[in-house]
Amino acid sequence: MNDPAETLGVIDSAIILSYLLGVLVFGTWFGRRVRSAKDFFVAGRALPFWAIGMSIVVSDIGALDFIGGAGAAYRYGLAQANFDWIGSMPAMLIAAFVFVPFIWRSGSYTVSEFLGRRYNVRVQIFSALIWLTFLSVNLSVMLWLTSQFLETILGWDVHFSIWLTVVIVGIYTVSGGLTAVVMTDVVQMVIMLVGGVALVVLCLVEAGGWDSMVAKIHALGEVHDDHFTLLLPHDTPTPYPWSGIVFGLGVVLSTSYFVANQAVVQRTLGARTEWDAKAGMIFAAFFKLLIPIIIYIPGIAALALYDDIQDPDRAVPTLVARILPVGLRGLMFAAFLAALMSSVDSYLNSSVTIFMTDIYGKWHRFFKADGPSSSQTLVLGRLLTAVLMVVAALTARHFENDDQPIYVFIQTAFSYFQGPVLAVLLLGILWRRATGFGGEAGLILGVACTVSLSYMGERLFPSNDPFLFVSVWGFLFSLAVTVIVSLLTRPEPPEKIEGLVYGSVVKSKSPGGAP
Amino acid sequence: MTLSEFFNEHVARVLEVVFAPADALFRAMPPWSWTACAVALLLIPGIAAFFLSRDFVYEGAPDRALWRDLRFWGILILLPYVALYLIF
Repeated sequence: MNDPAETLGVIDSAIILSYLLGVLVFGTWFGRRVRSAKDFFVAGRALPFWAIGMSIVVSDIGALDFIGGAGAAYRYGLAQANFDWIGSMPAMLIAAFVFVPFIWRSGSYTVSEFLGRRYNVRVQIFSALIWLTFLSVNLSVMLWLTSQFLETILGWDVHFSIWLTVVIVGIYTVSGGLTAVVMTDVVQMVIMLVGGVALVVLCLVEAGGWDSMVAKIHALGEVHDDHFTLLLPHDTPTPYPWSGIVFGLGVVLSTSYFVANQAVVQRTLGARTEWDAKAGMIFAAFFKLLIPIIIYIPGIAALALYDDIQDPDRAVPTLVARILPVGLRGLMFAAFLAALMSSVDSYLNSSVTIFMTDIYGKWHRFFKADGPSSSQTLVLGRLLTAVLMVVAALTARHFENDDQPIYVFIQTAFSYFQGPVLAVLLLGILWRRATGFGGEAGLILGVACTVSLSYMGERLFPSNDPFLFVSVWGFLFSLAVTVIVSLLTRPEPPEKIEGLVYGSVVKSKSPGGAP
Repeated sequence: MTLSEFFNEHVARVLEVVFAPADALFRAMPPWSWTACAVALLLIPGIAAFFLSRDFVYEGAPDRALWRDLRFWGILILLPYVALYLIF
């Protein structure tokens, strides 16, 4: 299966090479437009809604989903689609109508920056470090998954695959900034959809159609009876009980992801108008509907076709290698690379924005009265992008995980801080009485709570992977701590929070391009 | 004693007082109520958006054409999601 001569034809190689060169040239071309930090970090505030929407979706869908998500669908079934359906739609509407206009009008570059202004610098730095860690770990995981895919399909060396990705994505992200990231995302979204649809159609044909696929999977035994059910019982042996999906994922994890994740927020900040920012988020919700069809259905079909795959994360690579004909294999391969690169470039650009705004910017002001100049920020931003990419490549191999699907591993790590971040952000926006000490205590003790709960997961919760429940309890605990500590400490002066709480921000007109 | 053993022996016993009733409630709920919760979660933000002012929704739009009313975008996109949860 790993012999490149058997798996990849000349046409496939030509398609892949054309794709890689095309993205490199297209992305780098936007580098000519980058003259200031504003161009680099927020695309000069010129992005239309359709580009923002496509970029949000394709940044969210990466190698993790194509490999890890499809692997989880192979193992657990359609319930995996909850992450893109109920785990996206409500949160994206809330983000579009509440948080996006709020961030636009409050004049912040990052959510951590808002938290710093609303609470204090310690909350800002703690929040920034949390997101930096999340984005950086995800970068490494994505590179690792890419190398796994390339090894399975082409037999390429793991290190060669990682460095090839790093060089291509690194060049256009360093030169073109957010504009290059978003515009290449648009191209990559189209390629991903075309490749994904091709894979779904061929999978279903190979499985004998939808009904035949369902019958084959049900014939595998009782353990697969719920393979086509979205909401599973509370005591399901899978990590996705309905209670955790609706309240943990639908209410806490997804809302936190779409309102506080810099990789999402940054695209809306690059919009040409506030309407484009809001419309971009809702447009993305439309595409989210299609994602499980092109990503998870192949994972499910792999079970019907090959029920002996030991590592679920290899389900889709196996399908690509075994059932796709010459030509389509190259297209699918390009689609996968598109998904990967779009996520890597987004996380890279957003990590650097957080560092420059919340860490370097703050540190710089401690020692100098004036902040760094636009040209200094641009040079440092580009340098840091390159450094971060190299570090992610060097650490990628450490994220090999044989114990559980990598998707569950990432979601578990994510659940540690999503609840606390959402609680502190919500109270900061909606409750004038929330204080700096309250936010600090809510964030730090909230993360301590979720980590502690994870140690007791098997005893307290019905699932062996209780990240959905941990996020809900962490959110509620952080809410309580923030409220109690705020009431015990002195209120913030009105002039400090003016323009930072919901009422005063929403009643104001959009500044038409601020921050 | 490992950290895991410490938490399970000393802390989990106390937390079970809070978590056990929630666990029992979720176990007792019938499947139709799971779907009802999911559909409600999907519909609430879409319906709530209609309580926002038109000025707020159109802010930044070049004109006030009906197709630019984002509240209708939200509802239209919501419907297939609701259908999926009712079917599967």
